[in-house]
Amino acid sequence: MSAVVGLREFLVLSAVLFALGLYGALSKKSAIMILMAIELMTNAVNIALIAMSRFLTPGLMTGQFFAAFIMVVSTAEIGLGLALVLALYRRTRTVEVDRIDRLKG
Amino acid sequence: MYLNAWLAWSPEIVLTLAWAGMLVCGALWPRTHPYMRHATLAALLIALGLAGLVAANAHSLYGLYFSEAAKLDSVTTFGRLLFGSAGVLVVLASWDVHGEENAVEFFGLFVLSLLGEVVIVSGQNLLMLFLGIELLALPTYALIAIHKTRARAIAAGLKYFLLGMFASVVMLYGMALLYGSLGTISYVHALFPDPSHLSAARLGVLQFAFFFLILGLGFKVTAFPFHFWSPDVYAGGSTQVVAYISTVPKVAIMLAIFRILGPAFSTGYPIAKWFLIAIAVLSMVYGNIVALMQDDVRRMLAYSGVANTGYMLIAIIAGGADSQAALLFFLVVYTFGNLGAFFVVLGMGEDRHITIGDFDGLARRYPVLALAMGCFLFSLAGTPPLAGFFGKFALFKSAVAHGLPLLALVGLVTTVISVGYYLKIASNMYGDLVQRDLPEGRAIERIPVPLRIALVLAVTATLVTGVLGIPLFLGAL
Amino acid sequence: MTGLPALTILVAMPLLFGVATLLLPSGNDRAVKVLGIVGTSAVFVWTVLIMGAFSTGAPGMQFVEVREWVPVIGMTYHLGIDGLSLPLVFLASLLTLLCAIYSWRLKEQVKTFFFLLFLLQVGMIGVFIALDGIMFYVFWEIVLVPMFFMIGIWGGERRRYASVKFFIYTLIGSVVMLLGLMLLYMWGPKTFDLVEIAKWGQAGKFGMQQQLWIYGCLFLGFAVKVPIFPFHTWLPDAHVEAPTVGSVLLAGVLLKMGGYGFLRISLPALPYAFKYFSFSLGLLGVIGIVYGAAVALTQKDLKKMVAYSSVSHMGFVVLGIASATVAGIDGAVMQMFNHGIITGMLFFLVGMIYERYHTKEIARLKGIVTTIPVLGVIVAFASFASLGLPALSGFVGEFMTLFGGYQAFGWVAGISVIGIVLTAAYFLRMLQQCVFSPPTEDSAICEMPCELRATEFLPLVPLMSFALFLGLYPQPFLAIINPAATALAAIIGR
Repeated sequence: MSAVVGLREFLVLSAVLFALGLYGALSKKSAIMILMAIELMTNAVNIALIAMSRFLTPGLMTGQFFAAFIMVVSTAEIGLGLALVLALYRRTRTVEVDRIDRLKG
Repeated sequence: MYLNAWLAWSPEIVLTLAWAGMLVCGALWPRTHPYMRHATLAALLIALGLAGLVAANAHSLYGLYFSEAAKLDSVTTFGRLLFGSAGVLVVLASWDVHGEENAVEFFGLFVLSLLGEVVIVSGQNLLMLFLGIELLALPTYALIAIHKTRARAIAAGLKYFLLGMFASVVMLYGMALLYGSLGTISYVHALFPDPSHLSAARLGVLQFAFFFLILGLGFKVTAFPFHFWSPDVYAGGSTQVVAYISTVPKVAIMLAIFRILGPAFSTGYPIAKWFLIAIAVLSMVYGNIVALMQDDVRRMLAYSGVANTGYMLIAIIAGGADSQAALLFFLVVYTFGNLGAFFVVLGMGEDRHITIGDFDGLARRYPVLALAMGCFLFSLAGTPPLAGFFGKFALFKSAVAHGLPLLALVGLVTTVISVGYYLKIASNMYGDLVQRDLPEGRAIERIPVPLRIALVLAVTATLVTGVLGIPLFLGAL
Repeated sequence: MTGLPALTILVAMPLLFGVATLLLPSGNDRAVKVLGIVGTSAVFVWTVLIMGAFSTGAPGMQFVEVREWVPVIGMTYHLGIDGLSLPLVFLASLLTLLCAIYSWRLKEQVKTFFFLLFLLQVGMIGVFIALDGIMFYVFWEIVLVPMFFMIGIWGGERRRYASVKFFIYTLIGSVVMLLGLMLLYMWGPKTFDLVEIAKWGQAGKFGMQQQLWIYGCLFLGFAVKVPIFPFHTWLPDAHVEAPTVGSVLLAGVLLKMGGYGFLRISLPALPYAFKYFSFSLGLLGVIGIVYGAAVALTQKDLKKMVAYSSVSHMGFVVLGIASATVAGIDGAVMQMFNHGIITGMLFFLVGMIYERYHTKEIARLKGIVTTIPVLGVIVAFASFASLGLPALSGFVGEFMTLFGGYQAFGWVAGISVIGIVLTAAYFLRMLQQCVFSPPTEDSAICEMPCELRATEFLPLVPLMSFALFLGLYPQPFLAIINPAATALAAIIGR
């Protein structure tokens, strides 16, 4: 185990990123900004998973596999999300979540 | 073993092939679009039959598959049969709505999300659970957004999508922490060791993991306080989609939660247990009280769904073989009662909000529809001898048997609150059967035949599980 | 009748007739009514046969049927009948038959009505013969649904409010009662078999604390149903809005389920708690007697007055049960039967009056005896029976419960004499006002052929005969009740 950068540092990094993403997801109004904040949180999870896999169960690749799957799935999610945002934008000319609420369809 | 795996998972293989076939045909030959519904229905029926055959050969086919990633057991079979039957009902209800327009998208996504549910139920590690949840959820975001006319549906879909992703990430963080503190993601054997064997640091991380995991999963099953999306989304999407996402996904995730957390509480994690108890109690109380104040029937059903989640959580907190049987029975009851109630709303008209007032005098003008609705309402309300009563009874009894009589009391008393809003509809429907002192409610267009079949099937399921199914279900599980 | 599952047949008969009613082609109301009367008569005849085969002197259950049913949830199929339940089963069969006859002139939704009537009968009979906690509860709850629809469909102007209120109030009580039943299961012999639970309780295996908790839970369910003061507030609303038949069965049979529950479950299974709370229960009974009568005295609506008189009369039942003496329990069962007969009669009469005068306002009803002599005389007869005139049956039950109450609680039971005086006051005032005073210009006028029709008169005949017969010679009935009552009193040690 490295003396300078250990599991704790990675986990703190992950927690900080997660918290930043959390703040962004809860405070932003634009759907795209929220999407990006959620991506940040996803990556925080990936960092945590890979770090834990590397430091706690070095023989197994469980965490790495998990992270790889998460990346694939989140790509698909982003695809769907942007499609929805676009569809909405074409109809309403806005991407702000709390403004869509007030629109009647 | 190799052949066995093909046989054992044949229902899923059939559905996957059907899905692929539908996509290809739909893309190449637009003329096949009207037959997507037939294809889906046929695939579902075949899959149901195969699931039955697999269950009949349980001794040779049940077991762990794919490097212990998936398990075929009675719970998986239960899930297959329930999701399949619910799927048949939803296809019938969507028969005319999605006959040609968006048929490929609609039915393709629908089949995909059904597959996700089986992955969730059969999965034996957190990765499978995650993949299953995403496979289930992604199509449903799009399904909500597919709507003939409304921009509001897209807005609802986007909202559902953003919140759903947010919940997934929170759940993932919980999974990562779980993995970190336990060193494994598999729950083939009980995931949670006896807490006395863990170091204090790991136990601390584990409590956080519980917190995030329950937060994320709680969102998916609309438990209070993570339910806030459901009323808006339910009011925004088309009725048959809402009927689907308010029942089947919730059932699947509940079963998964039971697989993961059920054994945990018998080994004793008091903080997590109390956290879940608080969620269950608040869901029951809040869901029922707010449902009582709703005028829009779909919003009412959304809040009643929150309350029902609370009831299901009781089984998970009690955690035992009898709780599992109770939970499974309750899930059947909930699925058919809730689907049925939504189908009645669908039958009453798609494009407007259906309010409680719209049920005025329904029994006089459309006696059969009113009778069906009455059946679903009284079953959801838990009135004997309908299925709902035995479902709730088994749940509350398992709570009492595991030393949680006060939790059962909360459940019982909130059930009475729920009766308030269910009966409001019933008394509106039947109130002017004889004395006609009320304005006419709104007229209903002809209800399409497939939806009628779906309604009849749902009523039959509600009655049969109530009267005949008790020994069958509770005895067999 | 030996060898036949007599009680299964008894509870299955109305169910089958109910389904048969639904299967009849729609449009033929007459056939439905005939089937309704034939069906309820068949159930009644079967009840009488069971009564004949019942061996009077023996304590304990007869016609017992026990089978395993759903062992996973501890449910058994257990039916039986004894001296406590037989009079009540008889009452349920009789009143349902009379209601079917009375409904001969019903015009709308006849099929629905008779189906609900049969369903109601399934529940009413089932409660009194079930010896398994879950079956008891299921029958107890089944009753609510048809009653909800009866009030909600054929009720008065505020029927929606009244039907929902009725359902929810009684449901609050019964769900808590269900918790009590589950606790009996969990802390007891891990079965819902009430006989096993009673054995467990009498062996003293329930802890004292446990008994008090369970008793409290069960109490709420029974108390709402009886109804015991202060849980009675649903009753007047339900009665005022309910149609005549609904009121008759509600007051005649449904209220008895609560009192029966005390005797069937609370007393044998929880003797310590029963003794512990016996004085409070008796006091609530006495309060109910006085309060019900006092409120009835202030009522302007005839039906509401009868409803409050029910609260008062059921107070005697509660007093008798609480005393747990032989005389008290005998009297309580007797009083339940009598109240069913007499109040059933009164509600029929109120229905007939309302149909003729289109008002239930006491102040606007005058001179019934001059316009419709038969009706006036019967109203007077029923009122005297209800206020407890000696030689009519009301007196027997009241006297015995008071006697039992006095044995157990001394002078406190004597307070209920105030209630008796008040009861006499409001009935006499009503008679004087509505029946015997000469009609005036602003009084309501009879708006249809005034004389009683056969289908109205017929249901009154057996009720009047019972009121007279049991007042003069209650012995046959007491002989049925007495062995069971003696056994119950022995548990408490009084």
